[in-house]
Amino acid sequence: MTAAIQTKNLSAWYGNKQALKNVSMDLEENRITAIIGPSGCGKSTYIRCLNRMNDLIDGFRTQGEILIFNKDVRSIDPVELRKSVGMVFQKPNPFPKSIFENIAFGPRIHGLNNNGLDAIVEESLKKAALWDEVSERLNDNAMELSGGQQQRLCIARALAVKPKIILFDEPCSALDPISTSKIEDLMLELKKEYTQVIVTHNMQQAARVSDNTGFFLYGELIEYGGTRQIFKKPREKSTEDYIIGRFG
Amino acid sequence: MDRLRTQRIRESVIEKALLLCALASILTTIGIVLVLIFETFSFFEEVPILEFLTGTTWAPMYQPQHFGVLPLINGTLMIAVGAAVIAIPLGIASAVYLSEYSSPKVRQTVKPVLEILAGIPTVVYGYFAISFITPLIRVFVPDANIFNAASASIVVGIMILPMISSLSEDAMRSVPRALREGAYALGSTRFEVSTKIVLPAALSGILASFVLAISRAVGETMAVTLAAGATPKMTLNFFESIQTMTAYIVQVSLGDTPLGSIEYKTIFAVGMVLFAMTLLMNIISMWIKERYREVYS
Amino acid sequence: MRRIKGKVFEYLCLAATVAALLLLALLLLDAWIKGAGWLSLRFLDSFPSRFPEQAGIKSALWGSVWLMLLTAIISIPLGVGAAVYLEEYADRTWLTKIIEINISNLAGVPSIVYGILGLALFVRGLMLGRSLLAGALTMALLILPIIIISSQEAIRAVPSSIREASYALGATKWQTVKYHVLPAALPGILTGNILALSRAMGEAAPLIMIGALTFIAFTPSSPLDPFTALPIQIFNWASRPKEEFQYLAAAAILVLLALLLAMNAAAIIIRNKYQKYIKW
Repeated sequence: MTAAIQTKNLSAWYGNKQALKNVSMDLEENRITAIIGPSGCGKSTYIRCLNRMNDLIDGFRTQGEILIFNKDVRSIDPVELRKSVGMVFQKPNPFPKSIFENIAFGPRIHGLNNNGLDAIVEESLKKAALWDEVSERLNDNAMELSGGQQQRLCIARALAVKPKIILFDEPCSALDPISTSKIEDLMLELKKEYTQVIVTHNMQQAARVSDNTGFFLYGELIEYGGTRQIFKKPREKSTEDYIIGRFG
Repeated sequence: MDRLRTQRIRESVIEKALLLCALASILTTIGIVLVLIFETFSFFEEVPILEFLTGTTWAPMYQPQHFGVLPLINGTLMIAVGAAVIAIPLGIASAVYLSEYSSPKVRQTVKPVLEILAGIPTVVYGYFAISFITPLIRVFVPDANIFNAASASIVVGIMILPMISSLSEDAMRSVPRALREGAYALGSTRFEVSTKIVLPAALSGILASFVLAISRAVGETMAVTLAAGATPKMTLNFFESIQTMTAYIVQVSLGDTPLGSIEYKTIFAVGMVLFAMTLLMNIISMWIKERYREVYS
Repeated sequence: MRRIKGKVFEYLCLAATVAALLLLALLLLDAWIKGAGWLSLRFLDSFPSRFPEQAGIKSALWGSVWLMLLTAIISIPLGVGAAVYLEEYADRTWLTKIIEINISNLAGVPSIVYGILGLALFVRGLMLGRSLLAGALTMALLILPIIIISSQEAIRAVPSSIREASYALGATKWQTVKYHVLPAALPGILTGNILALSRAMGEAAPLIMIGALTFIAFTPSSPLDPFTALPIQIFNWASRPKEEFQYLAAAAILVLLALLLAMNAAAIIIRNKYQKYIKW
């Protein structure tokens, strides 16, 4: 199995505050990797390094290396990088525009003219299991959708620019259980084509969807391995404490 | 890859254009300062700076000419003080009412109305002064001049009242609830909480609003031009005709003064004094507010 | 005793608030009583005249409309551009700090000082003379700080999740601003800009400085024409001793206030409509 993402000795700071300490981990292609840990442990910081979203924050800097398909992310223009590394956020954040425009924005800014758009919109919505619910009202405002639908729309929006990797930053924390299970099913479905990374504070979720799991604590990667192993037989004491709910 | 390059060039051109927009405001300041300094210096080549700053007669239009700016400053300060005497008590009392006593519904209606009061053009206030306030004053003080400082002070006071009221109210409302609740828990009445807890805690914000409002009164032009008169003099009698710096500048501009003449240059010298005074006050107000922000952040 | 003192204090504060509101009512009533009788279509459609019963505000009204249009064309792109730069592009460096301090200071500079700048820079320096363009440039500089500050507030109110969504799709900064931030901030920006223009609408001092004329018997047809404006016409009539001119001034004030009211109402309608439309 090849590594889609390689991280080597990654450290990161917000101003003077260190958020990541020497994180090294390789994430496998076409697998789902879950990142777990208590809040403030650096898990969100970590995945936001992968598409350089943290570049937008004043005073943020990193040390170490991140390779995406063997290319250093710092050598790639962030615009190109984010085209191949999509992201879905904690709170659904559709643009306050029509459903169609939400999906079409990405392909359009990457130079696709209007001809192919209809097909891309349909394809992306189908992949995100949303097509049946919205095909009749593509011109309605996306803000009118339910929370779960909005989040699937955001996934469809990310798929539309044809990424290879999709990052999920606690995608279900604002959703009800039914919407959550829809998103989890969707992630399993998407495994065939995409490498996925999910940050979650919900350990059952990590156990349900992921192949591999990394446990972060105070900015360090404490333990990383197959999800089954991490949840059944953690090697580290702190991992076990976190998983059985002794803290967090 | 070519697309990416043109995109990058476009991005950087746009950023530079936007930066230029932001710099326009700096250019405005530089423009104001340069224009004022340049003409003021050329004014001081003809009139000694000491005579300008200490002279007590201002008569640039008549022979013999006198260029003592003190009467204009005197007039300006009279208006500012008079306006403050009216606006500060009223403004602060209404701020206390809106912040501590009124229901949210009343506040939500009254505040926009006060904003309307603040949005009325100053020339309208000037009209109000001469058509309503002045006749009223002359009922009570029959020998008051037709143009007098009192009338102008009153309307300028009305003009700056909403500013004091609204800024002070903001300052009072940002006093943490916990402070008020602590005092109420000790059995204080609303009056005691207002005067002994909220007012002192919001004092710097309130003071900042005073300074800002007085600076506004100093720079006020149309109302004082219409109502206060055109006789620069050293007086403290509010029922006499006076002249402010701003009114003088307008007076000169209304006539046709040739470029480069000494009268033309007086505009800039007086403008410089006015600019310096208001700038100083604005800086003081900002400084007070800055200190206040540190307390509650 | 404590309670009585408290009640007295409360009523004093209430009285002050009521006094402020009464003053506003009094002011409007005074203008209405004196001016309403002089309002007519003929008043709107006549040029100023020595004879009060023939005088009107045609040139002033058109002058004001022209002036507002030109001022808007100059100041809005400049002000919104500056606001976009400060909110979306600028790092927190000394330069942005200076720009922001400078803007808040400019907002406190008396309007007549802008008039002095306009006189030296536009009327004499650029030799634009006493033209509409010189007036509009001066007014544009005057309201620029207000436009920048209110546009900044509107842009800041756009939630950062929208920006993140756009960047995460590989959009550039300008694409994010153009397609998402500006459209979402537009109602707020419009509201602020209309209020800023209404401030310019009522200003007389800077226009007197740059020499806007008080007696003009034609409507401007190009930006380089001389002009007059409503506040100037009001000032001119109000400063005449003859009583009829005072009534004309009152009538012109009613027109000016009606225009300002319309602009403010438009701003409020835009704001309310927008608040109903999007809830973040």
